[in-house]
Amino acid sequence: MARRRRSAIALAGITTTILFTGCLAGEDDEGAGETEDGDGSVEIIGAIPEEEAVGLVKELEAFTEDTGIEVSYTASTDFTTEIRTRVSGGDPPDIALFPQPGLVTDLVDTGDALPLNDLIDTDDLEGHIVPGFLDSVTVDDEVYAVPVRMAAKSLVWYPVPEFEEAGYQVPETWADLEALQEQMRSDGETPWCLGAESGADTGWVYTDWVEEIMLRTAGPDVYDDWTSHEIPFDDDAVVEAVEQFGEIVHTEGNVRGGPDGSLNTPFGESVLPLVEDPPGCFMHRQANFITTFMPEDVQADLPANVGVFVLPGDVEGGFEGTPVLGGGDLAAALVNDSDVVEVMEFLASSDFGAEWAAEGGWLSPSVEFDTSNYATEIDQQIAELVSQADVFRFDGSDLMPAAVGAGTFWDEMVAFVGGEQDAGDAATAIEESWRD
Amino acid sequence: MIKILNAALAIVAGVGGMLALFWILNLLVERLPGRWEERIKPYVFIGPAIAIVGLFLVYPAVQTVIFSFADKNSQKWVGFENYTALWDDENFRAALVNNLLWILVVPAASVLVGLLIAVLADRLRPGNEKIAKSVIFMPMAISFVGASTIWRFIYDTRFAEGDEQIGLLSAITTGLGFDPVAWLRLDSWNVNDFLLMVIMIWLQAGFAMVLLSAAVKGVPDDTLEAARIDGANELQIFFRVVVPQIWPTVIVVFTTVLILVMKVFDIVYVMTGGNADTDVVANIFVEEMIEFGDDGRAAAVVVVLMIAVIPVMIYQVRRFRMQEAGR
Repeated sequence: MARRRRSAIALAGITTTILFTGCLAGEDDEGAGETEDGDGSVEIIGAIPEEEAVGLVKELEAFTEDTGIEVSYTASTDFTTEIRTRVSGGDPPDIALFPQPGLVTDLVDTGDALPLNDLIDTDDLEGHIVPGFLDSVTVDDEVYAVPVRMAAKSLVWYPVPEFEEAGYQVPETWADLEALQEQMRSDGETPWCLGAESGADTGWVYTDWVEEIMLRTAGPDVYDDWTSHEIPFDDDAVVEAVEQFGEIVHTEGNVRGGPDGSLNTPFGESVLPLVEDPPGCFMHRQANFITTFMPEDVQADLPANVGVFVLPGDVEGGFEGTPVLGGGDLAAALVNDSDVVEVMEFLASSDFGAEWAAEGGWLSPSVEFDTSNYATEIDQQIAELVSQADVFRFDGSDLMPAAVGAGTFWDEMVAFVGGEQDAGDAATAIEESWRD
Repeated sequence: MIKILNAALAIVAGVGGMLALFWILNLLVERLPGRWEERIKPYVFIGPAIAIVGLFLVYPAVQTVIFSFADKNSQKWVGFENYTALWDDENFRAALVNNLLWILVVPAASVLVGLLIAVLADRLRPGNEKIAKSVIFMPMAISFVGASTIWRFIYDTRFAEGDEQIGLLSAITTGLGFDPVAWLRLDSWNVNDFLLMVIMIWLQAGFAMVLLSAAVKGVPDDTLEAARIDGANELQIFFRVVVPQIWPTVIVVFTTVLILVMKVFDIVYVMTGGNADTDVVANIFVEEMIEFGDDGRAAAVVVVLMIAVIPVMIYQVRRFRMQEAGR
């Protein structure tokens, strides 16, 4: 008995020692601090898959030739996990390309992302980046990331030959679009291809749709209030946008395979019926990257096979104009040395991307970028469409806190499309999950 | 090549270092006066093990409990806020219920299926028994993610008219003239949960079968013979003679599968991502930790899971002690 008590005391002793040593992490310093001398190499990681990053690697090779700084890019298949573990483990990459601004601002909170005002000329940056883009990574007037790639989401793809043969017109206004859908349905055709299955990320395609409709029915100002939580998520404007989206996805015969089909079709595969012969649907709303999912023979001659227009705006009683919803990759500096600063300056210049543009499938976030660099007709056309837009707004779910933007917003929209939740209850559930 | 060298060096240095450490400590202890040598010696040998367990098991566990009372960046104390937030989270409560369902169904079903196969296979000719058992055991070698990928081809459904069904289940049901069904979204009566559990049972039945089969074969023939002479029928023999004798093995299989089920994650993550009310606790932890970056709540989820496992552990240890005492 005595022995047992002694070991119990020893155990208690060990535990309390551990308890006292295991305290909380301290607050990190603000500001970028002193710039150290670089060692001649810079490591970049990002979520851009290897096949899409061929142009980026070429771009970086050209930079290495000019400056002698070795720059490596590694594509991470699980970017969020990798960046979180590396940063919390004290081994951050020099620069990271974030697909979601929300993740950058998370790292601003913990003091891991460096304020760029101390490193590069951010006034120049603000002068030539598409307006609205930098707001998403600006905290207390400090810019924390440089956009390196833009995705235009508000694009509607259609099969050119069959579309023209059937006598359909590219819609100019939202009312035109609704009329066109009706016409297609009465012709016995399916208007939309819509697939949202994306593994654990299922639902982002739906949130994109709701954001598009929010921008058009409520307008960009209300949209900004919505993404920054100035208005609650279950505001009438949001519920109406969700219901409007419901009309597209729930109307019988409007979406290929119906709501269940859209829930079960992977987003990359969902475009395939569009380019089949005869087409399984006549319209598909998806960002510019979707061309890389099309069959090779279609990709070989895109302009002959697919056309593209901007999802129309001019909603009656809504925003007068055509907005463009977009996303992008943003480069944040996590280590402060002279080589990193030089690379960041390069990424921030309006010339960045000439090599990348030549590879295709890439859009510059800079309004000063020379569009003649784009190799394909489709890319030039998309750049043109984006520059004509009345307003540009960043993907709303990427701006919201992750628990909403990559959590309940996705889940509840899946439940809404599946018919388990109505628009009002879904919005209320999302509002309740919003952690400030 | 350098990697291989490094690994070899690490093994030599690690094992050699440990040996040297024990040898030196032992040498030192042996120089102590008689009684002290005996007193200290056990701790010299058990000490490093305790230190390692402490460093890699106790310390992280304690740290996790501490972090569960702090905010999402582990910088400020928030009291019980993480726990109350979890309790208010409908999703988390649903996940708790789902975990409970998994715990109730999967271990029991694995044991039942395994036992059924073990008893039936016992009656086959030896060659056939081997083949049958190998086939049933094979899924054990497949990872959860691999198994989920295989089962995707069973639950897949196509809805667009004219598309061919590539999912087995839907091919059968639509072939019989029914409408296509989104199997993994059938959340009434938790049907989709059960469909996911089938995957785990498929994986674990082989394991249960192997152990139970050995136990069934270990039942002494004379007890069976005695029962037959007393006029018992086959069912009576099975339930009154065989089952009581293999009961300890049944419990071992049951608790082993149970502990595995408490950690269920991969299958749900791959198949549904927790949608349509199929979330489980481990899935919520990953979501909080990695997607939402909320370390406080993630830690709280783990603490809840840890507390839930404790009763099973206590039962396991007690039973083990009883068994040891009985020897």
